[in-house]
Amino acid sequence: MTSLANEKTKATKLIMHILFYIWRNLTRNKLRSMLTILSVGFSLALMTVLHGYQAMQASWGKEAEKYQRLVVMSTQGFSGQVPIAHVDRVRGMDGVEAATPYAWFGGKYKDEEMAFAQFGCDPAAVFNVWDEFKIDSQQLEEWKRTRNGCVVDRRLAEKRGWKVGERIPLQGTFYSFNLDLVMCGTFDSPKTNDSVWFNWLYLDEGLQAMKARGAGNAGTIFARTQKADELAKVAKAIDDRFASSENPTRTQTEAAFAQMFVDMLGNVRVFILIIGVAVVFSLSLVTASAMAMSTRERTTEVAVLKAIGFSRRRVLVTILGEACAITLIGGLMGITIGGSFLELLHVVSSQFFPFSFREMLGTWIVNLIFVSAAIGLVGGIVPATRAAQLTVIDGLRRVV
Amino acid sequence: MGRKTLADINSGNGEPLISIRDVCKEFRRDAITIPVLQGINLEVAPGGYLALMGPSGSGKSTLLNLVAGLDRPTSGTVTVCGQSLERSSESQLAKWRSQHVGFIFQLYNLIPVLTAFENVELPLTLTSLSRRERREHVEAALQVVGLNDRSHHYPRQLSGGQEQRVSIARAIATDPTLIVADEPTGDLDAKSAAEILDLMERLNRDFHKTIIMVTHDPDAAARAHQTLHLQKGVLVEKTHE
Amino acid sequence: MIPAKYNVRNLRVRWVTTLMTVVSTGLVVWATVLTFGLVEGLEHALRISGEPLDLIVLRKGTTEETSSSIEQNVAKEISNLEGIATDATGQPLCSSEFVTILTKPRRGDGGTTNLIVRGLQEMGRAMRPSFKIVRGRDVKPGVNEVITSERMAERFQNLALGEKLEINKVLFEVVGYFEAAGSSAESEVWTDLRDLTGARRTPEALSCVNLRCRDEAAKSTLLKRLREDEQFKLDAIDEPAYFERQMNAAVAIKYAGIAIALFLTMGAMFAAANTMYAAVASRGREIGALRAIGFSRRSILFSFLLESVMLCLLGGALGCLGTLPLNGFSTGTANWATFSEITFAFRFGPTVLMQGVLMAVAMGLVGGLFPALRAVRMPIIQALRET
Ligand SMILES: Nc1ncnc2c1ncn2[C@@H]1O[C@H](COP(=O)(O)OP(=O)(O)O)[C@@H](O)[C@H]1O
Ligand SMILES: [Mg+2]
Repeated sequence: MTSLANEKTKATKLIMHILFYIWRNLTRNKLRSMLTILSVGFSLALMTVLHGYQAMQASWGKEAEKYQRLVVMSTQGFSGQVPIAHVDRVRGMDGVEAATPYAWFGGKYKDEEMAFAQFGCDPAAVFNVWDEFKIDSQQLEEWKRTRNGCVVDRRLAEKRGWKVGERIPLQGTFYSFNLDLVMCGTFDSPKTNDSVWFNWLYLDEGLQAMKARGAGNAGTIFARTQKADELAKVAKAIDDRFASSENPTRTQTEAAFAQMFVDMLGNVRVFILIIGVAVVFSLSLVTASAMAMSTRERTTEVAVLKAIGFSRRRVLVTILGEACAITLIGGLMGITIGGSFLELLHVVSSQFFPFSFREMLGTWIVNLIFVSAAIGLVGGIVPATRAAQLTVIDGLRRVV
Repeated sequence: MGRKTLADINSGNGEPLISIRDVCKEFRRDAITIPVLQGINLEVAPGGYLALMGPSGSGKSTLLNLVAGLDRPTSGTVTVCGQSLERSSESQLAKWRSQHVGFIFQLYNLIPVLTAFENVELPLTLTSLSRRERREHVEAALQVVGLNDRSHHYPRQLSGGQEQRVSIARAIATDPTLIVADEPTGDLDAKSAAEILDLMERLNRDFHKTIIMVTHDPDAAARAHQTLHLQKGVLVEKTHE
Repeated sequence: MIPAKYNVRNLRVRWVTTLMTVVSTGLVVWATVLTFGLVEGLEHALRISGEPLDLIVLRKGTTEETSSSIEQNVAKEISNLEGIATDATGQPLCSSEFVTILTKPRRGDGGTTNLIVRGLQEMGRAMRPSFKIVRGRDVKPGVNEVITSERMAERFQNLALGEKLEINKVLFEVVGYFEAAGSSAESEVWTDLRDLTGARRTPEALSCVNLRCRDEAAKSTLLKRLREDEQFKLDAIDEPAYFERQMNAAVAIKYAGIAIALFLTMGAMFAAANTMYAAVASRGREIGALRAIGFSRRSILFSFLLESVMLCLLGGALGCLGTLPLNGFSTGTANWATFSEITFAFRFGPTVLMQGVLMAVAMGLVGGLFPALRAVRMPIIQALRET
């Protein structure tokens, strides 16, 4: 019993001692340690940003999964026709709680292209489909009454300094009709959604009057199901319903719909992977080189330690430990820098970076920490084994 | 008290080549001032060969560095080859050294990645000599030290004595007036040391180089025309012959 | 000046450290040049697509072919306008086209993305840069056939020779591959104009008219004429400007590339600094001797900077060379102007490679500066006393 406790304290002592020695070595050539740490830091900051970008897309999909929404689009893609009559038919189907047309307008605001998103929808239904969005009931009533009215994401309105009554002129690019919107209110969404919602009918009437292309097209239909586990069933029912019509549909969950945009980016994932591998490999070399320099300087010292009776393993552990400590500190620094950079992007452009760094935290961070420690292991292994295998005689001679 | 006697020693004709007046040198380390040289007066005529002796830490190297323009005195004047070194800027000193001084160090200080030939050629790259002229100079210098056949060897392929001879060749390649040597034989065995001393004597006798040499070896000092002793920063005269 | 061979030899003597630093800076340059090569490839594809004398006529208010529509009789009148160039047989170089977007699965597990299908007639081919069929044959009108580029066939399902592409429940057989000098046409599927509008069940529809002006003067007249026509409500955009706008897609990647370059350059800079500090530390007496001989502080500084730059340039050269096997390697991404796939080849032109080299020089200069300053800041006598 006591001997076991003794063993334990002995082991702890040994570890403490090794840690102390590692720390001493680390601070011996402070400049070199700092430079290596910074080198690892900046490269891992990049990896953090790249992987954070991927994590953001994953978060996007996850976020979309929560709300039992389906997206109905034409089998012909965005240029296809989803007749407005489809909306009522979808509403009438079993398991559907609410549905709204959701037409992407993509207009220019003043001279800004793609300044924010604009969608034509059904004021009576849209807050039932997005039931997690909150709007003042009076403002909603006002919007329902105003043909050219619109409601705006609160964060967007605040950013632009818009107040109720603000006129928001939008020049059509895809549609030949220009909108002259009046802001009726703001809505709160759990995530920045950076959108302006206007009445689909206002757009449609304008298009019909001009006999312009796109009239009668709902663009896409967003629907919410009554039960979460019925998403797939309802989606299939909708597609079956329209399969033999003039305008067959393709219905998917909101998450799958979001994934579609991610897919459009193409080989980005492979690209990130390639850069990641290059960076990790490069850093292993940087670390190896730094560790080689410091062990070379310490050849005699290692020999003396061995002469005193330090085991090979202990020499190995000390040097590997130092390498790992350096890359770990660098890694943590890099993740902090990268995270701050992502946070900055989020603050500056929440339309393209809708998630803050905090919301994207996940196993990928842990992986990056492991990667940085692994860089130390890989980089330290050669210098460490060389030092461990050094004979006392050789080591003592080398300096003279 | 020693001023007059020292002046007497340098009974050369006309201007002295080296003239040191009331030189003090202090080093400052943190708040402490370490006085190393105190009121040094010294003159060396052209063609002189002076040995500096004294216990370790007495300031020999410091004095030699002042003469060679590697450092400037805290007070006093150092005039060498007509140049007032205490008033010269860093870059003026660098230029002056390249023209007037050849160095021989205890640890040779050859550039390990350059061959003997290239080491000797190095100070010549600071001149306006053409490539061919440089080669001729280098060959001549190596000829003097007897290492023509070793010109393509790297320092690590040479013995200590040979390295020091290359370093002498480097010191004379630009044909400087003055050669300073800080314990040139300090790291050598007796035989090599004797060779180096022979060589230096030849430089003084045949090539009329003025030489100042710091040494611990009385035999080496005996080869010089004069020997001065430094003790705690003060010159003490001990003539021989 | 201290001869450069001094630096070269020093790099060679400590070759292990040199090699490690060279490979690590090389990888960093490689990754960056890769990104820039991607942007360059994308921009090149769009740039080459724009013929200076060509105009794209769209409905007023739209900026994309995909969202434009023009009536048949209007298109006919456009083709009769004065100032349009003619081909050898006297036909006006003017092509009425219909463009639509399909959502189609990529090959492998690449998900789905949007694909541009263009219906056009014989004349349209003459207006693309060096259009030629490289495999199979061109489409025959009336029998629902399509042609596409080899790159697209590799990237999309159902687009290989002999396979069938479904458009609005009508099957179109792929009968050939074409090339068009790497322009954005190579990201499209082409078929006969009427076959496509037929399948779309909009037999009369047209999206845009593509025409070539006789000369610059004719171009400005035509631009004015088309834009100011009250009746037709048209907009004419000259082709280079049209594709310039689509380069927005490249802008995001460009920013990403710059961010990558910045972070990695910083990382590599510190690595280079580390190597150079070690070099300076181990050469204290050497530096002292060089200065004693008469080399000025400036030439020592220059020498160490040179060594550092050489070190990083070696890496830079390695990195640039490493990208060359990928030259011409094709890839694709979203064109956010049309929301459709654009395929293109990596291009490592002189500008891109130069950027890589400059990056390496920057690493060497900044990374070497502080070590070099340390080398010269030490007083000579102190340097000479170093062990
Ligand atoms: N750069 C320096 N900073 C501080 N002290 C120095 C410096 N150079 C020399 N000294 C001191 O000056 C004294 C004389 O040194 P030195 O001239 O080298 O003696 P030696 O006669 O052995 O050549 C020594 O005490 C030494 O510590
Ligand atoms: Mg000394």
